[in-house]
This record gives sequence, C-alpha cells and structure tokens, in this order.
Amino acid sequence: MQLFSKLRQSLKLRLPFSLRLLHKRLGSLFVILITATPFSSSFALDDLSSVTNLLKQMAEANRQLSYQGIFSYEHGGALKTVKVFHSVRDGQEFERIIHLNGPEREVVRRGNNLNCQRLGDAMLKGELLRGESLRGAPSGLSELSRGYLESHYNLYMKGEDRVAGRDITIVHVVPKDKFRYGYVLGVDKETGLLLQSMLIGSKKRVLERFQFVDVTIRTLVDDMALEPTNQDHHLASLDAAPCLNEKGALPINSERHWKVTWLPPGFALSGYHISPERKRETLVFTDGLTVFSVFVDPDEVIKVPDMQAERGATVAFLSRIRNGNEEHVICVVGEIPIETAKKVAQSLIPIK
Amino acid sequence: MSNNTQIKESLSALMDGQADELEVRRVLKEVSENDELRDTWRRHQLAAAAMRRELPEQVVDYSSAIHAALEHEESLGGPSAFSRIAKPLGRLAVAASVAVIALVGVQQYNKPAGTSGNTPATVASIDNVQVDFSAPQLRNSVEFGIPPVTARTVSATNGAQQGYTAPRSVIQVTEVTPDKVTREQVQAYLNELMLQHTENAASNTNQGMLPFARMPTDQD
Repeated sequence: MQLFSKLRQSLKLRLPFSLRLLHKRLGSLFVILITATPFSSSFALDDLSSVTNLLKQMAEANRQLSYQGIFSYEHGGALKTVKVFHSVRDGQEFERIIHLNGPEREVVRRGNNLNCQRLGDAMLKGELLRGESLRGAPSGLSELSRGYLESHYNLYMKGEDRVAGRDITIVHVVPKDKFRYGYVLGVDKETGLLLQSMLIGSKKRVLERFQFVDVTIRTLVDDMALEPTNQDHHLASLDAAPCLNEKGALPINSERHWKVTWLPPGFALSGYHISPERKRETLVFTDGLTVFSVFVDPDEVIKVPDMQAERGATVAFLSRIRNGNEEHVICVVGEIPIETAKKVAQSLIPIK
Repeated sequence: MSNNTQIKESLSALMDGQADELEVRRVLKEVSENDELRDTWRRHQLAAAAMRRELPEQVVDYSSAIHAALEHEESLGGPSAFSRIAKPLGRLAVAASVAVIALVGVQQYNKPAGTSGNTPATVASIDNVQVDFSAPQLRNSVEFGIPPVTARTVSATNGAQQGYTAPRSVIQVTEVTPDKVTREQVQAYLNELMLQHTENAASNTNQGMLPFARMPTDQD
C-alpha cells in the first residue's frame, strides 16, 4: 500500500493535470496491478516520496516524542544556548525552554493536545486538505492531497551528517519563488526528530541556525523539569492556533474585521486571534514550514511612522491603514523576505 | 592653568597607553581646540619617536580626523539589536506619520550610499531566492559555500566600516507631524509583536518551542 502511494506520488509528477482525476479513479485498479506484480519490490524508493515521508515522520516526531536536550541558536553572529524539555502526558504536550546565557528567560507551554491538528501540521504531513480550510487562499490548492510542500519548495535528500552525536539525514528545502526563504533540515535518522534547522536567505546566506548540542530522545522527562523555576517565566499561549475541525477546516470566526487580498502562493490562514482588551486582531499564515503574523491595532496604541525592522531572520513591516474614520496600525512579522511582508501588509482590507 | 596641567597629565597618560576612555576623549577634544596643547602633543610624539628611532620623514596630524570619527561612532555593546535599531529614532526625534525607516539589516537591502534611506528594494529587484543550495554532493553549509553566520552581523556602524559613506541616511523622514513617539515606545511595541509572532510561529508550525529561541536575550 505504501508502495502504491509512492508510485502514485511519482505518477503525479508526470501526469498532466487533466489525467490526475482519472488516475485517482483508477487508484484501486493500480493497487491490484501492483500487488499482482511479482517484481514490485524492485522499485527503488523515489527520492521525492522518501523526502515526503521523512518530513511526515518529522512532523509526528516533533510533537509525539519525549526528549530533552540543549540546542544552540545562532543569528547575526550571536550564539545562544537553550535547554529544552518536551514531554507527552495523557495525549498532551508539555514543554519548557530555558535560555542558558544572557538574561534569564524561560517559556513554558502546556496542554497542546496531540489530537489537535493544525493547518501547518497538515501541510507538512501532506495530509488531505479540502478546499474548505484553504478558502480565501487565492492559489487553487484545494485539490492537493499529498506533497503539499513540493508545490512551493524543491525538496532534496542531501546525505547524512552527525548532530549532537546522532546520525541525521539532511534535507534541502529550496523555495520555488522569491516570497519565502529556504531551509536545510537535519532530521534524526532513528526517530525523525528535527535536530538541526538552518534558514537560508537570498545569496545562500544562513539567516539563523538551530542545532542540538546534546539530546536524549524517548526519555522519561522528570515532572519537575517541566515546571518553571523563574517567576518571570512566559506562559506560551495557543490562542492563535486553532485546531482544524473534522472537515479539515478552520473554525469560522465571525468577528474578524480584516483580510488580506494577496498571499504568497501556498500560504493560507492558519490561525487568528482577537484580543478583547487591546482590540488587536492577529492573523497567522503558514505554508507548512514558514509562518508570518499580521497584527492590526487601533491607531491609539502607537503613533508610529511606516517602518521596517529586522532581528535575525525575523522582519517586521509596519504601516497604517484607514477604515472609514478609524486609523489602524498594521504590522506584518515573520521569517520572510521583507518584500513579502510589505506586499501582504499592503493587501490588507477591512471585511465589509 | 591647573586644568591645563591636568590635561597635560592626561596627555602623557595617553602617550603611555595608560589613559582611560574618558581621558582620551577629553584630550582629543582639548587638542582639537587648543593649539598650544596640540603643539605639546606633537613635540611629545616626535620626541618619543626619536627615542625609538622611528622618526618619520613627514609628520601627520591625525587628531582631528580621529576626533571626528569618535564623534560619529556609536557606542558598542550594551543595547539590544532593537535598541540599536531604534536609537537613531530618538536622536532624530522622528515624529509619527509617514516616515520610512530601514533598520538593522541595511546591508541586506544594499543600496548605493545616499539612497539607502529609501524604501529598500522592490520585489522586482530582489535577488532570486531560488539558489541551488541543493547541488549534489554538498552536505553542509561550509561545502555549499554559505557564508558563515557572522555575515549577518549587521549594524549601521559595521556598515560604515564596510564602505558605507552615509550610514546615517538609513533614516528618511518624508513627513513630520507633531505626534512624537520615543524610540523606547517603538521598540517596546515591536518587541511585543515579535514575541507574539514567536508564539504564533511556535504553535502554527511543527517545530515545537524552537522559535522561542528567537526571543531577544538582551535587556529590553
């Protein structure tokens, strides 16, 4: 069955669009043919589908495994080291990270339900995406069922390396357009956990690098290790990351006031949040790997000029928009090229 | 006069390499304003050079140039990336409204000096990101020629060292209204949004808590 999906994967690449439907209909016939073929096992693994499988495995490992370790994070020539604990209890993720150098910073996140499937997960895993969840994404993605990332990135297996004393498989994720950055991912061979990630900007510049220094996977994480020790710790919220409903769609929120009319191909709304106290509206978009946020604040929050800012690989493009008599501040923040952020900001309009 | 004595003491301390930063600045300031002191300085230098048998054929006075350079130098260390970004804001007392500001990362949107204050790079001119960092047999950043991460260490001061003749022109105010904002306010606002974005990135991608490593560790 797995072989079949691989075959289908490779077929999909060759078949013209119009034939895909036909091929879907004939799917069951293919299964019969293949299982009946005595030399079916001689098919070599198609590189693309093994990459797809690897990423799928990674997507699951990152959430489901218990692990603890120390990773380094580099950007702009600065190096930070961070301790991380990740555990799954009763189907929920419990996580804690502690910055080991510089000022004390600690973040705790609890209660992320493993059954909660988010759009980004579904994209990365290449699971079925119905048109519903992508409504509003003007890129005609609804019929894609597998290999979502391949539509917007070229994926290559690039051999092996070693990180944190473990063997990893290296995957190059090269964007097909200029609206997003590329990645070099190092995935643990044994478990699929992401052990290294580099963000690659234009001119092959490494914008940031995560890399485990030491990690213990499938370990029993001590309860105490998941409790914050610093009073000033930050409790991370999952507010702007709704689970997809049983139809694979985002729950409808009628209170939204804003929408974007342009998105880079493959990006779709994956979350939103309206904070009651600040009247801030947050829209979150992802293509499965990259995320950017759009914040709309009432004008009185801050009177600032248009500006753009960068920190590491993160850019912020800040602008203003008028809706009737109300002035608003828009800010697009993400690990994306500034031009993308700008284009998104300029495409924002109020929902009538 | 005692002031003069003091400054001469500082001057000889400077010559011995014993002066602290404050003294250096004071001496350079005085030297630039006080001809007598400058002559003293030259004489001391010449004498010292003669004693070391390093007497140059021609004596050049760099003091004014160094002073000017110091005047323009931004303080190093301490402030976070964001405060470095936002510092020029305060200095130029930028007012709210439509001002276009290129912050840290000037290098990336590299423009010829003098035009760097404009909104950087249109979509059309941005480099094609579709680089082949996937060429066969290449396995890590060193092999595929990705410059070291330090290539990103970018600030206005670095920019100047790299041949930017007008590092200051990264700020361009195209319109000014009376609603002033301080750089602290802008910085705090952007920090808040960045943190929220980090949270969004951590919950909407599959990388768990990794994005939280991006939190600024410098004091806000």
